[in-house]
Order: sequence, then C-alpha cells, then structure tokens
Amino acid sequence: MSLAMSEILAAYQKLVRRQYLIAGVIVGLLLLGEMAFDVVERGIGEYLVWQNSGREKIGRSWEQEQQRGTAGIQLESVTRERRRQVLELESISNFEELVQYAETNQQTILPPSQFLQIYHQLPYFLQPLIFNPDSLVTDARTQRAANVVVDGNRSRFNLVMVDSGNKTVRRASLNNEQMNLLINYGKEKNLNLRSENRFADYFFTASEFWNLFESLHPLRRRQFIQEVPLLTESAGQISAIGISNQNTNEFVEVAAAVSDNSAYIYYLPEDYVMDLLSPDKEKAYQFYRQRRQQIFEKR
Amino acid sequence: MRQHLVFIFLAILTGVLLIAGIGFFVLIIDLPHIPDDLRNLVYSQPTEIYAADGSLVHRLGGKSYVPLSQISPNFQRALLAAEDGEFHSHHGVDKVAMMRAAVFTLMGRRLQSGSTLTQQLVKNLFFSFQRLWSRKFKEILISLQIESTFTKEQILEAYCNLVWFGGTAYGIQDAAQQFFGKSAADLTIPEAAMLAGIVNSPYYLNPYSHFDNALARQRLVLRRMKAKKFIDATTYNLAMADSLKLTGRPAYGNDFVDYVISEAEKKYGHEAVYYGGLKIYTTMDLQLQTIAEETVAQSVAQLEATLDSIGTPLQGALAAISVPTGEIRAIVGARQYVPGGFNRAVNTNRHVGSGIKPFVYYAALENLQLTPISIVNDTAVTFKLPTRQHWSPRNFDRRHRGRLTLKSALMQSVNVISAQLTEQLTPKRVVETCRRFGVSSLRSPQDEVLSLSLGSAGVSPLEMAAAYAVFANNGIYYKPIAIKRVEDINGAVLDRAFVFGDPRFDPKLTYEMLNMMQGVIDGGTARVIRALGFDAPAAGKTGTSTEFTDAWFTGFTTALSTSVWVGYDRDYQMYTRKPRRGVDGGRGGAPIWTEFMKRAITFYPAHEFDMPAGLQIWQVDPANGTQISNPQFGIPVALPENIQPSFAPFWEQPATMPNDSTESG
Repeated sequence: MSLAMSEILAAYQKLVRRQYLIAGVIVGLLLLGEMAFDVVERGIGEYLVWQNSGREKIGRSWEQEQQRGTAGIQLESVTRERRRQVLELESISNFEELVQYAETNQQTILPPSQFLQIYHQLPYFLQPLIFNPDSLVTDARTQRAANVVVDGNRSRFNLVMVDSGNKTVRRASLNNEQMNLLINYGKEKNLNLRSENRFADYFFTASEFWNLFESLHPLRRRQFIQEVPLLTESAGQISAIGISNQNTNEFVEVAAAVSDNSAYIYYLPEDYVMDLLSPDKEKAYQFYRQRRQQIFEKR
Repeated sequence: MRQHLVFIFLAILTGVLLIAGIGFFVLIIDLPHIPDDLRNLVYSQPTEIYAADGSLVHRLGGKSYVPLSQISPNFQRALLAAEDGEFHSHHGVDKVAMMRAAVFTLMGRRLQSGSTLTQQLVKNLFFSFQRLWSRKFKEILISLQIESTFTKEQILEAYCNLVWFGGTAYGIQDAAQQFFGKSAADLTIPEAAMLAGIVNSPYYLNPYSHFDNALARQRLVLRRMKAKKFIDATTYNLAMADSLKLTGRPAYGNDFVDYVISEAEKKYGHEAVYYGGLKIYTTMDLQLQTIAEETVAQSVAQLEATLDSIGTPLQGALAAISVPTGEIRAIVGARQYVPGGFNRAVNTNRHVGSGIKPFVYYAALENLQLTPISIVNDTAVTFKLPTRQHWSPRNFDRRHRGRLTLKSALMQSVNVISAQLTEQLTPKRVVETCRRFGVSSLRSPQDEVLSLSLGSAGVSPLEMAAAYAVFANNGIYYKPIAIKRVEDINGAVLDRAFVFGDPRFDPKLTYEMLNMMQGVIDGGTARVIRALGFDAPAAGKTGTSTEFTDAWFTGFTTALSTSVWVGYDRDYQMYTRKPRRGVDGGRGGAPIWTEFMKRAITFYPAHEFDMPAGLQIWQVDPANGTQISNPQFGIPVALPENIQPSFAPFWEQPATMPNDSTESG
C-alpha cells in the first residue's frame, strides 16, 4: 500500500516537474515572442487605437490647435473692424465727417481722390487753410501724393500727404480756430444776434441787408451768392444779419438769423465784408480784390 | 513547501498584473486623442517678423512642413544614429534601452530617458517637459498607439518637422535654411550629423554660441553612423575631415522682436500674434541692431572692468531712432539677451537725471521769455515745498558758478538753475512740456514735484531718443514706430503705419535748444564725445541720477537719435576703482553712445542741422552773454535775428535760502 502510494507520489511529482517544464517553456516562448514581435505593445497599441475616438483633444498640440482657432477669431474680428472702417471711410464726403472719423480712429488714410472731393466741398477761400490750391496742382502734375494721412481732433488736426515711399510731401496742421472755421461754416447754431456783443456794431435788419447787398458790385454779389447758399435757398427766412467785429485768421464771422434764437454761421474773407460795409462799393471792390490776391500769394 | 512557493509566486504575479491593469486603465482616462493625420498637429503657419530690409528675423509659433522625400536621407540616418538606432525594429518603445535606463535610475544614477523617436515625438506633441512617472507611462502608451496607427515613415516625417533646433528653427527645413542656407533635401553627411546632434540639447549644442560642443556632438553622431553601418569608413573619414561652413549668423534683434511682439499683442491679442500666421514688417535696421548689440555688450563689459566689483552684472540699454521718420532702428534691452528677460530700453523705471533739463530749458524759453544768453545766477538756493519741507538742490560738482548764460548753465548741467526754472515754470508745466515731447511715462500729479528738475522721474531710453529727435526735427514730433505693416495669413494688410510728423513746437526755439545742446558735446559735460573722435554735427545731454545709480547719454545727429543707459538692476552705485570716481553720464553713457554712433554714421551720414529762418548765430562770452568778435573765444549761440547786441537780460531769481541736499548731473 505504502509502495503504491510512493509510486503515485513519484508519478505525480514527475508530472508536476513536467508541467513546470512546460510552463517554463511556454513562458520562455512568450518572452521570446514578445521580444521578437512586440506582442504586448501591439496589443495595447491596438486597444488604444480602438478607444481613441472617445478621448478628448488635450495636450500641448491640441491646446495650440485651440489657440490657432482663437487666433483666427481674433484676426477675423480685426479684419471685420478694418472692413467696417474702410466702408465708413469710403462714405465720408465732407470735412466734418472726416474729423469725426479721425477722432475715433487713430490714423486715417485717404486716397488723394477722396481727399480732393472733401477739399473741394470747402468754401474756396477756406481751402488754403489746409493746402494752397496751387500746390495741389503741382502735386497732381507730378503725381507724388499716394495717400493723405489725417490724425487729430477738433482742437488740433493734422493732414499729411505722403508719397508711395511713405515720405511726407505736404503737411497741414490746423489749430482750434481754423478747425472752427472749417467745421462750423454754413451751420445753423443756437444764437441770438441781438444779445451777442460781437454783432452789436454791425447788426442789420433783413431789408437793410438786402439794400446793401443790392448795391454790391455784380461780381461780388455773385461771390456772395456762391459762398452763402442761404441767400438763394432760404432768403425769405432771413430776419437779420450780424457781422462780427472780430477777425479770425483774416475771416469775419457773418451770422444770418432765421429766428430769434437761431442763425446760420459763415466765415467770409475780410474783403467781402469790408466791401459790403463800404459806402463806395466799386472802389472797395477793386481795393479788396487786390488785397485778397496778395493774401493768396502770401499763403 | 514548493507548492507554497508556487502559490506565492502566482499571487505576486496576479497582484502585479492586477496593479498594472488598474494602473493602465487609470492612465488611459486622460490620454489625448490622436488625429488621423499627424500633419494637422505638426504644421502651423508661423507669424513672421521681418527687418526693414525685408529679411526674416524671427518666426513665432509656427512650423514649416516638408515630406520625408524632401528630407535628405543623410539627415534621416544621422538622426536615427543619434537618437534611436533601433527605430525600425521597435514598436514605439525600446525595451532593452528602457530596462537599462530603469536599472541605471534604480541604482541612483542620473535619470536615464531611453526614449525612442516615437516617444520624443509624443512628448513634443502632447506633454510637458516635467519629469514625472505618470507622464512617462502615458508617453509610452501613446507611443504604442502612434506606432499602431502610423507607418515608420510617417512618424519619422512628423518628428523631422516638429523637432526644435534652437532659436526660431522648428523642423529640419528651418534648421537647414538657418544654419546652412540650404534646403533639407540638400544636406551633406557632415551637415546632417551636425543638425542631428543639436536635437539633443539645442541650447548647449548651438553651433553659433557653442561651436566646440556642437562639433564634438557631430563627431559622436558620425561615429554612431559608422558603427550602425549607415556610412562606410571612407565616407566617415571624409566627413570627419570636412570643415563645416555655417552660412547663417547668430540671432540679433531679440529685444527688438520682443518689443514688436508686445506691441502687436496689445493690438491683436496673444493668440493672434503667436498662432495667427501674421507677417509683421518692422522698422529694425538689422545692421544697426547688430552694431548696437555688439557695442553695448563690449562697452558695458569694458566699463564694468573698471568699476568696484558688486557681484552682479552691470547692465546697459540703447534705443536708436531715425530722426526724419521716427522709425525705431535698434533696441538693446540688456548687455546679453535673455529670452523673456527685462527690456531696459523700453521700460520706464530708471531716473533720467539731467537728461530732463532740455525740456525744462525749452519750457523756460517758451514761457519765461528767456534766451540762450539770458544771465542766470548759480547760487545756493532752498525751496519751500508744498509739504512745508525745504529742498536745496546741489550742483553735481558741489560748487556754484555765480552768473552765467543759460547756455553755459545747460552745458555744465547746473542743477540749481534747472531747479529755479522749474520752480518758476511750475512742475506741472514741466510735466506738460515733457509729455508734449512724447515722454508719456511722466504722470500727473505724481511726477509734478520740484525734484523733477533734476530728473527724479523714470523714463525709458526709447522715449528719450524719440523726444530728443524733436530738437533735430525743428519742433516736429514723430511718434516712434516699430511696426510698419502687418499682413494676415492671406496677405491682406491689417495695419500700416505712416510716418507722421506733428509740428508741436516753435522751430526757432527748438533750434535755440539744439544749439545749446550742441554746446554740451562741444564743450560741456559730454565733451568726451569729441575727445573720442566723433566729429559729426551732434547735440545731446548727459544724465546721472542721484548717487551714480544711472548714467545716461541721449544725443542725436540729423539722421539718428540715440539714447544710452547704464546701471545696475538693483540701483547699486557705480564707482571706478582707480581713481575712485562716480560714473556719470559723461563717463558711462557718452562713451557707449560715441562708440555706437561712430560705427552707425557710415550708414546714417549726418550733416549740419538746418537753422530756421529768423535766427542768427552769435559768438558770445559764456560768462556774461555779450557778443564778441573773435570766434576763437566764446561760444556760438543761436538767437532771434531781431535781438539787440546788448541784449543779455538778467533773469530774476526766486527767493533763496542757503542749504544743500540733492544733486544730479
């Protein structure tokens, strides 16, 4: 019995040894297979490929990808703003709009053609405050001006003509007084002529003014009509005319009242006004015409 | 017993597998998604920054991309030899290298990486550079996925296009262009080995800054290529004998680029600048920038060698502006550039000392009806401050000169006169004048103090250079610009800067000031400039803060306005060893300015300053302002044409009390 048991035990032990051997061989083969064929790596790799679609886009490159998206949004916003500015700029047709635009946008660049449109809308005797018309003819002939850069506000305004190389061709700096002349010309203002001291010396009722006007030299009269559109557009509404006793940059403020508290403001050259006020209008016309010529030449 | 051992072994094995399994599933929770095409992540359009001559000086955020077929096989082999010899035989991880690295690490030696190219690619794509075990395991897992998703060629291609070679060179195409001026397809074996070597440590193996290190690494790569049989012995010997020709140049203009980036960020936002693929055209003159950097580095080192040892490096900064346009030509923010470091040329934290005096004197000409020959009285004065305290400005040399002309007072940088003028003008008006000159860092009311007359306010060299250029431009201020044009990714112009002069000052008065400042160089506190051989027409002013902590010189010709600052970051005093003297603007800033301008004048020739109509030059006695006939004596002074020969009015001084306390020079 005990012999039989020991034989069984021996057989069992032999079997176990063989199993260890087999297991060892299997483990060895697995290790060799792994070393040769990267079985585990491939398995894990395939598993990760399988569950890749459920994973989030995280990590440095994905963050950069998101930042590229943000960059696109930021630049789109800048581009949109630039487009809006271009459209707004293209729609500017007079000097006041240009100043308003420049006040909210730092440097404004106009093509010379648009600038000239705005320039020509100004009363011709105010144009030299910006650039002398003769100089613009020179620039047009040489085609030097590539852009007009404007910058500033109502108290200080700069206009610079630059060539294609971005160098200054011509420059104008307008101070507060000059800006007032250019912006307020022809504007209706809340103004009572009778209560303003500056109009006290030269205050005319409508009929007094029309008498003076009728006596002007015909050419001067035509100039008045041209520079003061109110004379033809709303002559019937004019109740009084006030001429300031002050001179601003060789211009005199002329206010045409259309009601007790409302008047249209014009700035006319000193010679226009002196002509109007002079008893000998023919002589005055000739005198001031010559003087005006001198002023133009001086500028 | 044996069975017990078996069970223990099985239990441990099960435990290890269980932990590994749990660890695996924990780690994969926040693994990143991998795209179908690696190019989507590798490629991005860079923002490019150009110098004024159109040359590319910096690339930001982007990477160019070339297919593997356009990358020289020499480089591919050199890279594999240098970084991953078993690349084609592993599946993302090199088990032998990993086990070796693990053993080395467990033995307490330096942490070994054992990373394959795939792992390096994964690290660059998704992970931080922190040395964490969890990061390492995730990197391995993603590497396995990458290997299961892409071919070896795709992985190698992505790696070549992603890897950083230092500076602005991302990817092999950039690197080949920047270091050898050629395409990645045309790299020779020695060049390829050099570039493959850099990858290991782009800073310490940079051939421009550390050529010996780079060469040693290149030779190691060549040896590995031979050992791997990528090249034969003959090729190896030829490559080892080859002398490399670096066609690029060390990077200059980093401070300028940093300034441009910060300006662009203010306008467009961080992401748009870094990832928007913009093209930014700057006003930087690369040649001048190079001269400026070299001059600051050398001159500051020379000055430092003469000073008391402080244990911290002496610093310097320079800003140069084109006088006729206001375009910034050069910016140097430190003697040696440090990425992300402090840019001293644009930061406004250093006292300008007497550099403020030209603005004070200009305000006096404008508001107090003084002329350069007005007689002022340098005597001990004490001012009663609004705080009821008393303040007594002290002259730099601690002596008083009595009566002298205003021009002489500026030439000798007399503090008492500047303080008297400021008191009469009021500090508020001086601040307003400074701000009209473009020194916008001065604030109201905090800088509106009497000591402002001696430069107690902080300004930047860039502001000073732009402000002094107003004198050279007959009163026209040009806002300094660094960016000329910005284009978006499609080439559409987003912004364009126009040269825009603003006539803010009377041309005659600014010329009178200019003439006074010429005196500073020709016979005043900056006469060292003439002694050092700079003989072009120039004007400027020295500046020294209290106790010699800042030394400035700002000066200009008709072409360039340049401001130089030297000092220590921590406000240490600057004293020379033998003889022991404080370093003032004449000793510290002016020599550096001279060195720079002597080289710069070749590219920016100077001519005589244009004197506006209505002025004349008199030769006057500096002591009493009377006109003298012999030009050998006296000093030239610009004066209005209608001034009478006897006109040298004595300016009425404010009430004084004897006492001394503060100085600047």
